[in-house]
Amino acid sequence: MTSVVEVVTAQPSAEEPAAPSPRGRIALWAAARPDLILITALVLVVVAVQGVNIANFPTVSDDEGTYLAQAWAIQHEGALAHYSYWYDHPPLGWLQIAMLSWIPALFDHGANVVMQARIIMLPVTAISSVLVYLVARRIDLPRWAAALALVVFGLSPLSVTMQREIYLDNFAVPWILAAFVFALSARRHLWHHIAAGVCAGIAVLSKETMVIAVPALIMALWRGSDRSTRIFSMVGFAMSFLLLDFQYLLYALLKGELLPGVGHNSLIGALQFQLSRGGNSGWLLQTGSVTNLTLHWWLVRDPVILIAGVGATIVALFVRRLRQVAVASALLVLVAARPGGYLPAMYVLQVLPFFALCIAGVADAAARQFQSGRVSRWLPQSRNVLAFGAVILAGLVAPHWETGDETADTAYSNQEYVQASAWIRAHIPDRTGVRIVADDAMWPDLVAQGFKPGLGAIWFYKVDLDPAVTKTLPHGWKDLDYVVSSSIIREDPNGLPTVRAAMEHSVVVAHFGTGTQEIDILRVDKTGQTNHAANTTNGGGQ
Amino acid sequence: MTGDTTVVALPAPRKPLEARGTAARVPAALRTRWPLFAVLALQIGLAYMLTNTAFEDEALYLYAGHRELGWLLHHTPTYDTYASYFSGAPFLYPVLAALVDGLLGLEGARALSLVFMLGATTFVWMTARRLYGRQAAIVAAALFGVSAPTLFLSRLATYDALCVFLLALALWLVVRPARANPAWVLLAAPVLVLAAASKYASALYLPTVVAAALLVVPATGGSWARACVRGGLLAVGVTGLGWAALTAWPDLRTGLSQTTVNRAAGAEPLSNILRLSAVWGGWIAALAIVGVWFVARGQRDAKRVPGVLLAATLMLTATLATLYQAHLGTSVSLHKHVGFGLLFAAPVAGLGLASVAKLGQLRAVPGFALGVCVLLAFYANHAVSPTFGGWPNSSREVAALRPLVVPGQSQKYLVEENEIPRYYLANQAEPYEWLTTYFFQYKALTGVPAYQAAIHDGYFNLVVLDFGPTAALDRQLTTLLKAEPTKYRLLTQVPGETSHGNQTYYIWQRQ
Repeated sequence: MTSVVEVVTAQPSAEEPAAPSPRGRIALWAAARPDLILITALVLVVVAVQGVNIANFPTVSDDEGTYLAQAWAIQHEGALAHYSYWYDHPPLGWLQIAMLSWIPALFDHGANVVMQARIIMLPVTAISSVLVYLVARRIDLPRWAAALALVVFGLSPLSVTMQREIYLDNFAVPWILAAFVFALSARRHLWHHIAAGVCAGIAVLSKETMVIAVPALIMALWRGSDRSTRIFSMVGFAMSFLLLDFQYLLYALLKGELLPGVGHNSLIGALQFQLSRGGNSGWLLQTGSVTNLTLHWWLVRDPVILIAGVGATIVALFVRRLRQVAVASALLVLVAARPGGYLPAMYVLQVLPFFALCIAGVADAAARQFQSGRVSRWLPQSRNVLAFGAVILAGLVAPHWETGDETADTAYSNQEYVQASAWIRAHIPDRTGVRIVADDAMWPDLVAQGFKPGLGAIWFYKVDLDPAVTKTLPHGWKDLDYVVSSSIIREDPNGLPTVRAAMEHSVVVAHFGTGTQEIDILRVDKTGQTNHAANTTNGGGQ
Repeated sequence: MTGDTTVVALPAPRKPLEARGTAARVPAALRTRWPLFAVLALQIGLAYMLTNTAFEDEALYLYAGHRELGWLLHHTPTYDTYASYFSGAPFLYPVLAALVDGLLGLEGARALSLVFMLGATTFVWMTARRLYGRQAAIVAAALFGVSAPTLFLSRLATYDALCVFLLALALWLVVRPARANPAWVLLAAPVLVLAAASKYASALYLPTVVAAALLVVPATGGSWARACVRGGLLAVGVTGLGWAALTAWPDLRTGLSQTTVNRAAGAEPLSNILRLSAVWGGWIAALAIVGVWFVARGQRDAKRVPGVLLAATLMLTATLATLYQAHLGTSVSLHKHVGFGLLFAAPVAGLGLASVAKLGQLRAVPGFALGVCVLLAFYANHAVSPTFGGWPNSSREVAALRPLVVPGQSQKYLVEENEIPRYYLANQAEPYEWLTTYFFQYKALTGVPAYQAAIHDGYFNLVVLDFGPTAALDRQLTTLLKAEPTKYRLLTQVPGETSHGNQTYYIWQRQ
């Protein structure tokens, strides 16, 4: 016999809501997390655009190879660099590269290690994109504007091109953005502010120039902290930031390499060198100057984000809720624009997230003015004017970006490196006793092929500039066997007499590509009978 | 107010429109249609931004039209069998255009195309308004009227504009009387057959019109049985008239077979064909997909399924030209053919954009729809201008040849792309005096040996080469013309400007 209790429990109560269908549950879950859904969709697009053809475009650079080689040294030699560490940059950037080195190992190795290693930049870009969105939300931007910031940051052709490259700046960016996220945390927790200091410290130890953005970060911390506990927040932030970064000074001090001296590298000496590098770089807007060429290179990739970014930065300085990111952007721009300063091409990576935030922030501020602010009071149909303007702007920018991103996703710029590497693999069988000079974009390949790291496969700068290498070349260029002549080496042979002499006393045994992309493999003629310099002087040829 | 009596001032009752007479109705009709007139004005303005001398096809059709007209009126021999290689009946559009050309010249013939395309835009408006209402009609007319293919065809004296107009008319003829007697649909049959005869490729769109004739009935609340009768009537009507036309003019079969049905396949990459289609009509097709989605989201009643089917059919028609040319492996004339499909997709695209912008609703954002239309017009102009300037401006070539082409004597002019000087100098030379680098027969020889023998004999009075489509042969001919003992001298080199640089005409004269 069935009891009353059983009957009641067996039948669903009319008042008890029925369990939602699986489809309904997913919809409810998604509806409760609009930011997550939006971020996931946009980041997938950004990563897809960046991931397609990542190995083949842009051309691998010497810097990428250097950082990768230094990461290799950490893993395989327990050293901070593949040659003696000379404090060119703090080492945390390539420490992170080393930590991510398991990712390329999941995939097949191609002919060029740097090209294959670029895949590690995808998670870095994904994290940076998410953090741009979060910072945007924490400076009170609505969801659409935060999405706009993410899209501008992730899909500008300049971003797509440069964020693919293994640059320290790309590793510093997510840390400084994370610092802003913590500093602007709505919970105003002391530990968040300490975390902001830690993140800022790691950002600076990843790329030292990130210190330029720290004053803006302090402003953000001021905004993000409660008045009553602000002093604790500031102290917590400062202590964590300084304690972390002092480790670098301490390392140099304990090694006796803080101050310049004879026979050793030093932190201060390296700083002096870095600061003196830009002596003849000219000014950003001076036609033909080195920095102007860098600016031109950026503008070719994407004038929109640069021009709109500078314009939005100026406007954003006057908008209270955007001031912190605008100050970060303005400081980075001012440092880039200083006359005579050294301006590496990858510097722009540090300012791109702040440009994106300023552009989205100004767009939001304008939209508010058009919808319910001053503009709507004197401009009839201001809502329609806004919609019209937004469509036109988006319609003019999107095809330009599509073209740039399509180039990034379809161009092949590294075939010469692949072919040169394959030739070396096939035609130089005895690698243990051979000394081959190459740029760092090729160096990891040569090591992977079995050349002796450092003294067998030699980074071309070190032939003349590193005493540890020079002393192993008692007969100068005659102790070298091959030179892989790429545009990087050809651009800078004058300060490297041994490399130049080796190139002059060599014959081309293999030749790939044309123009600036050309790579020649030169075999050094140790008999001295080959001398291009003499032949040129005498009007002869090879 | 006086005392306790409240007087409420009511507006005077307005007379019904019919009662106000024609004088009142016309301004009212103009007022409600001002967006259409604005679109037409914009279409005219943008079209007249395109300028160039006659395109090869224009020159060919107009010249053929004059010859056909001469045959019809005076039995003057045409010296050509146009029907064997024209992709449309040579006695239809070419004759009509030649009549206008005779009166007003090339600009007149091009104005005729503009009139046809303005008519097509008007019928797009009328069809869209019938199907989806006024807001969608405004957007549809704007999208179609300023699209790249429409602007291009508005300034090109070829039979495409006539066909687009006839197809637009036929679509409206099947949509307009959807609730009337099914027999009315037969009005569209001769229009469709005329369109197909004018340009054979337009037969590709006849099934869409038949499907629309069928689906529009249940989509507007009629029965499926009535729809089938309507669709069947139109199919039978078109088939019967088409069969009659092919029987009456058997020459058309040859042209139909060679230029359309059994056209030689190319090897153009699919990506090129897709990209060209996307640039010239992609956005309208994309907005049409949005339109289908909005139809599908509509009220759940008996009209929804046929409504979705109708919208989807019209939307998919936008892809027909691309699919067919992808099958053929060629993008030749694709930029024109895409426009045929846009005619059908435009009403649905209009609905899509109007729905996104919430036109006709309380919180409408017409600025959004206007922005999209302006943007698409900008890019349409961006795509059309270089294409319309893509062929060399022949004014200097023609000016250089005019004194050299001697009327009344049997001369031989070997001219690559001779359609242009042949058209402009039609009064100075007979058709058989013009020879081409595409095919030549001399003393039972063909190909290079024929040219070699003819040059050796000094057969040609003039040789004009521009290293265009037969550039490889031109190089060989140049070598032959220079070979000693030479009978020719390079008289002059004339530049012909194009949007992508100058092309040079090399004019050789017999010594």
